[in-house]
Amino acid sequence: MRFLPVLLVVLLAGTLPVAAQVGDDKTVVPGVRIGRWTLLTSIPELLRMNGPASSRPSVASMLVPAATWYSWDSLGIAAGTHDRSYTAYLAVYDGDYAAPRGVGIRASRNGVLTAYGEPTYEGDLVVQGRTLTLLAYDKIGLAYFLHNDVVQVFLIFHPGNLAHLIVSC
Amino acid sequence: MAGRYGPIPRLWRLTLAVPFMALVLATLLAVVMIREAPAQHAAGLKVTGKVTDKIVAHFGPSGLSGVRSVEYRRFVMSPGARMEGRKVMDDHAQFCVVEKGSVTITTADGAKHTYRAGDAFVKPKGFTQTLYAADPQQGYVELSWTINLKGH
Repeated sequence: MRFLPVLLVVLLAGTLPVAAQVGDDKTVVPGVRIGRWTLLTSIPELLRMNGPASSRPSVASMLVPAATWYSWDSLGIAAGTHDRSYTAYLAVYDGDYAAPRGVGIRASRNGVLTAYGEPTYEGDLVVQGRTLTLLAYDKIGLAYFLHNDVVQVFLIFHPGNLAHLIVSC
Repeated sequence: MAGRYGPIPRLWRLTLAVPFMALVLATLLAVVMIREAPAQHAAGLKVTGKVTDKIVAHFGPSGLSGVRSVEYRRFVMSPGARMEGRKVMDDHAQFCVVEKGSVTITTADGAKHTYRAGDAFVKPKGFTQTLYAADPQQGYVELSWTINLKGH
Protein backbone atom coordinates (compact mmCIF):
# COMPACT_ATOMS: atom_id res chain seq x y z
CA MET A 1 0.00 0.00 0.00
CA ARG A 2 2.85 2.40 0.69
CA PHE A 3 3.81 2.24 -2.98
CA LEU A 4 0.34 3.32 -4.05
CA PRO A 5 1.07 7.11 -4.11
CA VAL A 6 4.27 6.47 -6.07
CA LEU A 7 2.38 4.28 -8.51
CA LEU A 8 -0.28 6.96 -8.96
CA VAL A 9 2.34 9.64 -9.63
CA VAL A 10 4.04 7.40 -12.21
CA LEU A 11 0.74 6.67 -13.92
CA LEU A 12 -0.24 10.36 -14.01
CA ALA A 13 3.16 11.37 -15.36
CA GLY A 14 2.78 8.76 -18.07
CA THR A 15 -0.53 10.17 -19.23
CA LEU A 16 0.58 13.82 -19.46
CA PRO A 17 2.58 13.61 -22.71
CA VAL A 18 -0.25 11.61 -24.28
CA ALA A 19 -2.73 14.33 -23.37
CA ALA A 20 -0.42 16.96 -24.87
CA GLN A 21 -0.05 14.92 -28.08
CA VAL A 22 -3.82 14.59 -28.45
CA GLY A 23 -4.25 18.36 -28.18
CA ASP A 24 -1.60 19.09 -30.83
CA ASP A 25 -2.34 16.16 -33.07
CA LYS A 26 -2.12 17.30 -36.71
CA THR A 27 -1.96 13.83 -38.17
CA VAL A 28 -4.14 13.06 -41.16
CA VAL A 29 -4.98 9.45 -41.87
CA PRO A 30 -6.88 9.25 -45.20
CA GLY A 31 -10.28 7.64 -44.87
CA VAL A 32 -10.00 7.60 -41.08
CA ARG A 33 -9.16 10.78 -39.19
CA ILE A 34 -7.80 14.30 -39.10
CA GLY A 35 -6.16 14.99 -35.77
CA ARG A 36 -8.52 13.79 -33.08
CA TRP A 37 -11.60 13.95 -35.32
CA THR A 38 -12.54 10.71 -37.04
CA LEU A 39 -15.10 9.92 -39.70
CA LEU A 40 -16.87 7.80 -37.09
CA THR A 41 -17.35 10.83 -34.85
CA SER A 42 -20.93 11.99 -35.23
CA ILE A 43 -21.79 15.62 -36.01
CA PRO A 44 -23.38 16.18 -32.57
CA GLU A 45 -20.19 14.77 -31.00
CA LEU A 46 -18.01 17.07 -33.13
CA LEU A 47 -20.12 20.03 -32.01
CA ARG A 48 -19.63 18.95 -28.41
CA MET A 49 -15.86 18.59 -28.93
CA ASN A 50 -15.25 21.80 -30.88
CA GLY A 51 -18.02 24.10 -29.74
CA PRO A 52 -20.50 25.89 -32.00
CA ALA A 53 -19.65 25.93 -35.70
CA SER A 54 -18.58 29.19 -37.35
CA SER A 55 -21.42 31.20 -38.80
CA ARG A 56 -19.46 32.00 -41.99
CA PRO A 57 -19.67 29.12 -44.51
CA SER A 58 -16.29 27.57 -45.25
CA VAL A 59 -14.92 27.02 -48.73
CA ALA A 60 -15.59 23.30 -48.28
CA SER A 61 -19.31 23.96 -48.39
CA MET A 62 -18.92 25.38 -51.91
CA LEU A 63 -16.84 22.44 -53.10
CA VAL A 64 -19.33 19.76 -52.06
CA PRO A 65 -22.63 21.66 -51.97
CA ALA A 66 -24.67 18.46 -51.71
CA ALA A 67 -23.51 18.08 -48.10
CA THR A 68 -24.41 20.13 -45.03
CA TRP A 69 -21.21 21.58 -43.59
CA TYR A 70 -20.09 22.62 -40.13
CA SER A 71 -16.82 24.52 -39.97
CA TRP A 72 -14.56 25.72 -37.19
CA ASP A 73 -12.42 28.62 -38.43
CA SER A 74 -10.18 28.53 -35.36
CA LEU A 75 -9.25 24.93 -36.21
CA GLY A 76 -9.31 25.25 -40.00
CA ILE A 77 -11.45 22.14 -40.36
CA ALA A 78 -14.97 21.44 -41.55
CA ALA A 79 -17.22 18.40 -41.34
CA GLY A 80 -19.70 17.48 -44.05
CA THR A 81 -22.75 15.30 -43.61
CA HIS A 82 -25.67 14.10 -45.70
CA ASP A 83 -27.96 13.31 -42.78
CA ARG A 84 -26.80 15.75 -40.06
CA SER A 85 -25.61 12.80 -38.00
CA TYR A 86 -22.92 10.69 -39.69
CA THR A 87 -19.77 12.49 -40.80
CA ALA A 88 -19.22 11.88 -44.51
CA TYR A 89 -16.24 14.22 -44.98
CA LEU A 90 -13.65 15.98 -42.86
CA ALA A 91 -12.00 18.85 -44.71
CA VAL A 92 -8.94 20.94 -43.94
CA TYR A 93 -9.01 24.49 -45.32
CA ASP A 94 -6.46 26.15 -43.07
CA GLY A 95 -3.63 25.27 -40.70
CA ASP A 96 -0.61 23.04 -40.86
CA TYR A 97 -2.31 19.67 -41.05
CA ALA A 98 -0.51 17.42 -43.50
CA ALA A 99 -1.49 14.11 -44.99
CA PRO A 100 0.92 11.21 -44.30
CA ARG A 101 3.26 12.00 -47.18
CA GLY A 102 3.58 15.64 -46.23
CA VAL A 103 1.14 16.93 -48.84
CA GLY A 104 -1.09 19.58 -47.32
CA ILE A 105 -2.48 23.01 -48.13
CA ARG A 106 -0.31 25.02 -50.57
CA ALA A 107 1.31 21.83 -51.91
CA SER A 108 1.69 21.65 -55.68
CA ARG A 109 -0.11 19.35 -58.09
CA ASN A 110 3.21 17.64 -58.79
CA GLY A 111 3.64 17.12 -55.05
CA VAL A 112 0.27 15.37 -54.86
CA LEU A 113 0.96 13.21 -57.92
CA THR A 114 4.46 12.32 -56.74
CA ALA A 115 3.16 11.30 -53.33
CA TYR A 116 0.00 9.44 -54.33
CA GLY A 117 0.29 8.68 -58.06
CA GLU A 118 -2.51 9.13 -60.57
CA PRO A 119 -5.87 9.84 -58.93
CA THR A 120 -8.83 7.53 -59.42
CA TYR A 121 -10.95 10.50 -60.41
CA GLU A 122 -9.94 13.92 -61.68
CA GLY A 123 -12.58 16.53 -62.35
CA ASP A 124 -12.99 20.26 -62.80
CA LEU A 125 -15.57 22.39 -61.08
CA VAL A 126 -16.27 26.11 -61.14
CA VAL A 127 -16.73 27.79 -57.77
CA GLN A 128 -17.43 31.53 -57.68
CA GLY A 129 -15.91 31.98 -61.10
CA ARG A 130 -12.73 30.03 -60.29
CA THR A 131 -11.97 26.68 -61.86
CA LEU A 132 -10.82 24.13 -59.33
CA THR A 133 -9.51 20.67 -60.02
CA LEU A 134 -10.42 17.74 -57.82
CA LEU A 135 -7.92 14.91 -57.48
CA ALA A 136 -9.63 12.03 -55.66
CA TYR A 137 -8.09 8.82 -54.38
CA ASP A 138 -11.09 6.58 -53.97
CA LYS A 139 -9.34 3.57 -52.46
CA ILE A 140 -7.81 5.46 -49.54
CA GLY A 141 -10.49 8.13 -49.05
CA LEU A 142 -8.48 11.28 -49.79
CA ALA A 143 -9.24 14.19 -52.12
CA TYR A 144 -7.43 17.43 -52.98
CA PHE A 145 -8.97 20.56 -54.46
CA LEU A 146 -6.47 22.67 -56.40
CA HIS A 147 -6.58 26.11 -57.98
CA ASN A 148 -3.80 26.96 -60.41
CA ASP A 149 -2.16 23.66 -59.46
CA VAL A 150 -1.92 24.61 -55.77
CA VAL A 151 -3.85 22.72 -53.06
CA GLN A 152 -6.55 24.93 -51.48
CA VAL A 153 -8.49 22.32 -49.51
CA PHE A 154 -8.14 18.63 -48.87
CA LEU A 155 -10.59 16.24 -47.36
CA ILE A 156 -10.93 12.68 -46.21
CA PHE A 157 -13.97 10.52 -46.87
CA HIS A 158 -15.09 6.94 -46.47
CA PRO A 159 -13.24 4.97 -49.19
CA GLY A 160 -15.50 3.97 -52.06
CA ASN A 161 -17.85 6.88 -51.58
CA LEU A 162 -17.26 9.36 -54.38
CA ALA A 163 -20.94 9.85 -55.17
CA HIS A 164 -21.17 13.47 -54.09
CA LEU A 165 -17.62 14.39 -55.05
CA ILE A 166 -17.99 13.53 -58.72
CA VAL A 167 -18.89 16.76 -60.35
CA SER A 168 -20.96 15.82 -63.38
CA CYS A 169 -21.91 12.58 -65.12
CA MET B 1 -30.37 -30.60 -2.67
CA ALA B 2 -28.49 -27.33 -2.32
CA GLY B 3 -25.42 -28.56 -4.19
CA ARG B 4 -21.82 -27.55 -3.74
CA TYR B 5 -22.42 -23.78 -3.60
CA GLY B 6 -25.66 -23.70 -1.57
CA PRO B 7 -28.61 -21.34 -2.20
CA ILE B 8 -26.97 -18.01 -1.26
CA PRO B 9 -23.88 -18.30 -3.46
CA ARG B 10 -26.20 -19.34 -6.32
CA LEU B 11 -28.17 -16.13 -5.85
CA TRP B 12 -24.92 -14.21 -5.77
CA ARG B 13 -23.84 -15.85 -9.03
CA LEU B 14 -27.21 -14.95 -10.55
CA THR B 15 -26.78 -11.33 -9.43
CA LEU B 16 -23.37 -11.22 -11.09
CA ALA B 17 -24.63 -12.93 -14.22
CA VAL B 18 -27.15 -10.18 -15.04
CA PRO B 19 -24.66 -7.29 -15.30
CA PHE B 20 -22.18 -9.63 -17.00
CA MET B 21 -24.72 -10.56 -19.66
CA ALA B 22 -25.68 -6.90 -20.04
CA LEU B 23 -22.02 -6.06 -20.57
CA VAL B 24 -21.64 -8.81 -23.17
CA LEU B 25 -24.77 -7.62 -24.99
CA ALA B 26 -23.63 -3.99 -24.89
CA THR B 27 -20.23 -4.98 -26.30
CA LEU B 28 -21.84 -6.99 -29.10
CA LEU B 29 -24.18 -4.09 -29.90
CA ALA B 30 -21.24 -1.65 -29.96
CA VAL B 31 -19.31 -3.94 -32.32
CA VAL B 32 -22.31 -4.20 -34.65
CA MET B 33 -22.87 -0.42 -34.59
CA ILE B 34 -19.20 0.32 -35.25
CA ARG B 35 -19.31 -2.04 -38.22
CA GLU B 36 -22.61 -0.68 -39.47
CA ALA B 37 -21.70 3.01 -39.33
CA PRO B 38 -19.12 3.02 -42.15
CA ALA B 39 -21.21 0.55 -44.14
CA GLN B 40 -23.83 3.25 -44.57
CA HIS B 41 -21.27 5.44 -46.30
CA ALA B 42 -19.87 2.58 -48.34
CA ALA B 43 -23.17 2.60 -50.21
CA GLY B 44 -21.63 5.46 -52.21
CA LEU B 45 -19.89 5.43 -55.54
CA LYS B 46 -16.76 3.45 -56.27
CA VAL B 47 -14.41 4.07 -59.18
CA THR B 48 -12.27 1.33 -60.72
CA GLY B 49 -9.65 2.37 -63.25
CA LYS B 50 -9.14 6.05 -64.02
CA VAL B 51 -11.76 8.68 -64.76
CA THR B 52 -11.18 12.32 -65.73
CA ASP B 53 -13.85 14.94 -66.25
CA LYS B 54 -12.33 18.22 -67.45
CA ILE B 55 -14.00 21.50 -68.32
CA VAL B 56 -13.10 22.61 -71.84
CA ALA B 57 -15.16 25.80 -71.62
CA HIS B 58 -17.41 27.33 -69.00
CA PHE B 59 -20.19 29.79 -69.79
CA GLY B 60 -21.92 31.45 -66.92
CA PRO B 61 -23.93 33.03 -65.62
CA SER B 62 -25.87 32.16 -68.71
CA GLY B 63 -28.61 34.78 -68.52
CA LEU B 64 -31.09 32.04 -69.28
CA SER B 65 -33.99 31.59 -66.90
CA GLY B 66 -33.39 28.59 -64.62
CA VAL B 67 -29.85 28.01 -65.90
CA ARG B 68 -26.88 28.83 -63.65
CA SER B 69 -24.15 27.99 -66.12
CA VAL B 70 -23.28 25.83 -69.10
CA GLU B 71 -20.11 23.76 -69.36
CA TYR B 72 -18.52 22.01 -72.27
CA ARG B 73 -16.77 18.97 -70.78
CA ARG B 74 -14.56 16.11 -71.89
CA PHE B 75 -15.11 12.94 -69.90
CA VAL B 76 -12.59 10.09 -70.25
CA MET B 77 -12.61 6.59 -68.78
CA SER B 78 -9.63 4.29 -69.11
CA PRO B 79 -10.22 0.86 -70.76
CA GLY B 80 -12.36 -1.27 -68.45
CA ALA B 81 -12.94 1.57 -65.98
CA ARG B 82 -16.16 1.43 -63.97
CA MET B 83 -18.15 3.76 -61.79
CA GLU B 84 -20.34 1.64 -59.56
CA GLY B 85 -22.98 3.04 -57.27
CA ARG B 86 -26.09 5.14 -57.34
CA LYS B 87 -25.53 8.59 -58.78
CA VAL B 88 -28.39 11.03 -59.21
CA MET B 89 -28.04 14.05 -61.46
CA ASP B 90 -30.05 16.31 -59.22
CA ASP B 91 -28.66 19.70 -60.22
CA HIS B 92 -27.85 19.44 -63.90
CA ALA B 93 -28.75 17.88 -67.25
CA GLN B 94 -26.40 16.72 -70.02
CA PHE B 95 -26.27 16.29 -73.75
CA CYS B 96 -23.52 13.76 -74.52
CA VAL B 97 -21.71 12.74 -77.70
CA VAL B 98 -19.46 9.68 -77.72
CA GLU B 99 -16.11 10.58 -79.26
CA LYS B 100 -14.33 7.26 -78.83
CA GLY B 101 -14.89 3.75 -77.45
CA SER B 102 -18.16 2.79 -75.83
CA VAL B 103 -19.98 2.82 -72.53
CA THR B 104 -22.71 0.72 -70.98
CA ILE B 105 -24.88 2.63 -68.56
CA THR B 106 -27.15 0.82 -66.13
CA THR B 107 -29.97 2.95 -64.80
CA ALA B 108 -31.84 2.73 -61.51
CA ASP B 109 -34.60 0.56 -63.04
CA GLY B 110 -32.00 -2.02 -64.14
CA ALA B 111 -32.11 -1.12 -67.84
CA LYS B 112 -28.79 -1.18 -69.75
CA HIS B 113 -27.94 1.19 -72.58
CA THR B 114 -24.77 0.94 -74.67
CA TYR B 115 -23.50 3.96 -76.58
CA ARG B 116 -20.68 3.83 -79.15
CA ALA B 117 -18.51 6.36 -80.96
CA GLY B 118 -20.74 8.76 -82.90
CA ASP B 119 -23.83 8.18 -80.73
CA ALA B 120 -25.49 11.03 -78.87
CA PHE B 121 -27.80 10.87 -75.88
CA VAL B 122 -29.44 13.06 -73.29
CA LYS B 123 -29.39 12.64 -69.52
CA PRO B 124 -32.19 14.76 -68.05
CA LYS B 125 -32.22 16.22 -64.56
CA GLY B 126 -32.99 13.41 -62.13
CA PHE B 127 -31.27 10.79 -64.31
CA THR B 128 -30.06 8.02 -61.98
CA GLN B 129 -27.32 5.60 -62.88
CA THR B 130 -25.99 2.65 -60.95
CA LEU B 131 -23.15 1.59 -63.23
CA TYR B 132 -21.06 3.33 -65.90
CA ALA B 133 -18.77 0.77 -67.55
CA ALA B 134 -16.23 1.67 -70.24
CA ASP B 135 -15.22 -0.55 -73.13
CA PRO B 136 -12.52 -2.98 -71.90
CA GLN B 137 -10.28 -2.38 -74.92
CA GLN B 138 -10.87 1.18 -76.08
CA GLY B 139 -12.15 2.89 -72.97
CA TYR B 140 -14.61 5.72 -73.37
CA VAL B 141 -14.38 9.38 -74.35
CA GLU B 142 -17.46 11.58 -74.14
CA LEU B 143 -18.02 15.23 -74.97
CA SER B 144 -20.86 16.76 -73.05
CA TRP B 145 -22.73 19.98 -72.65
CA THR B 146 -23.66 20.20 -69.02
CA ILE B 147 -26.45 22.57 -68.09
CA ASN B 148 -26.21 23.50 -64.41
CA LEU B 149 -29.60 24.45 -63.08
CA LYS B 150 -30.44 27.22 -60.64
CA GLY B 151 -31.80 26.56 -57.19
CA HIS B 152 -29.39 23.69 -56.38
